Amino acid sequence: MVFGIKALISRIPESNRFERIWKLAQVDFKKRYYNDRLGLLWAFINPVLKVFIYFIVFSRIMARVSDDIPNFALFIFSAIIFWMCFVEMMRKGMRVLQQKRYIIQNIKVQKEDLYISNSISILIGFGFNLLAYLIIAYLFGVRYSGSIIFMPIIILTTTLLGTGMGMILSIIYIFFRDINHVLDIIVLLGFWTSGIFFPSSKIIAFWKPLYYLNPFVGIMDNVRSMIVYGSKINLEIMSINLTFGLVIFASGLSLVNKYSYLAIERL
Amino acid sequence: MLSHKQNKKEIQALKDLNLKIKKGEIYGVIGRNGSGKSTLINIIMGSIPANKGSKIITRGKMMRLSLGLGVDDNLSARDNIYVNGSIIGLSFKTIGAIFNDIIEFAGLDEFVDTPVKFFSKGMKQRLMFSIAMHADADVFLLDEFFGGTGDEDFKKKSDEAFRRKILEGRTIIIVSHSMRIITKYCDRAIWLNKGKTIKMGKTEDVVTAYKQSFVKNQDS
Repeated sequence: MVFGIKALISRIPESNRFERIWKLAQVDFKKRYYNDRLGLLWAFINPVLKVFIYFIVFSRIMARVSDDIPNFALFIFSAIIFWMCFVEMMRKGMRVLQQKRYIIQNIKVQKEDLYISNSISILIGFGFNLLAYLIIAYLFGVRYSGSIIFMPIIILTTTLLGTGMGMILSIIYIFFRDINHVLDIIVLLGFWTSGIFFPSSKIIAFWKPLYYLNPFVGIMDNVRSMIVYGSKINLEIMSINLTFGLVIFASGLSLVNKYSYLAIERL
Repeated sequence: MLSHKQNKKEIQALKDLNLKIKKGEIYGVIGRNGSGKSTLINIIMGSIPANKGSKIITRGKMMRLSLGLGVDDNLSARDNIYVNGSIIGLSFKTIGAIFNDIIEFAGLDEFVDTPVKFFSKGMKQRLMFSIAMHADADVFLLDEFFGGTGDEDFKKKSDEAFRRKILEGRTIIIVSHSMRIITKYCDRAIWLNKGKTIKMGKTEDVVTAYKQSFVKNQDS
């Protein structure tokens, strides 16, 4: 027992590791709004304007299309903020080794920290989006169900998937820069098979295994249960998704530990 | 940039290298571009693994210092100090405590919250140098760290600070093209060429031999 604890403590790295992760995340986030007059306010204005546009489009212009889905604007927007968070983590993660080269080169640092701080900076932006959404949805009369307590798990799953994919892609990127273009296609494919514009029932009707193969189908379903319809979530699919996320993250981590040194020679 | 094949060759060539640097020693690495200096530094740092059978034993916290790297143009001097400070191993508390020293030393009192992109090259270098002065490590790898930083006044000041803050009690490996710097600071040195050790030993001897090689090349 004592040995176990000792081993655990020795795994805790030098004291400023978490500070460093946090600081890198903070400045990454800050940098995005540095040059803008309204600065950080944009992180909040942007999602509000987006919801407004979705609302106008789907309640007026395309009203007939969305007839059979109640609260269609919220239905879409809730899914999109999760999807964008994932895509951004993946895209930026892919470039981490290149962009943080000055750190890797100059100090011994656990490489995964760079990916984690990257994801945290994106999570900050995501937090603004989610907050804006929750306020707007509330004003629209949505009442959240008790299952909203599972929200952190869904966010964790999304983060594990995004960070893990970012790690995997960043290693592929060392050998094969064209992955950039391939990624665009994968993102597009993912977008249309995750049920962002239509309910998961259509995906299950199309090809059932996709429900389990693409974790985002389940994530979107559960997100909507929580913050659009205030109904119960599907705990089974949530656990499957989380497991999926852990597997992707672990794969990314082992790839990064094994091959990231090549970035110094090749990028 | 080196191709992979070339790199492989260099690492193999460095396999025959048996380098022991004592604690508190200042060691110079010289050689032309592409001679394997950076590979050596990267291997010591552990950022590139050495070939099988090689043994790299290092003790203590290591840090590579090179000017010009690491300043983020879009961030203010304040943020750069915090980011770089934590990268070089300082806690926020420590950075907070030495913050004013860094700013004062760099002479940037009025520009603490100005984005670094509006700084002149000299100001940036002064900032980086002042941050590096406070680095917390046992072993320093100085990769062309001295690049004529700032004006004469700052040069003098930084030279003195360098001696007082970095040289004291630390193990240092200096990579430089400047024989003046190598001769000034290093106890021993190694001369690399295309990954092979040409000469190692006392700085004077190595530098003299290195300089002679240029004369010979010019004659032939």
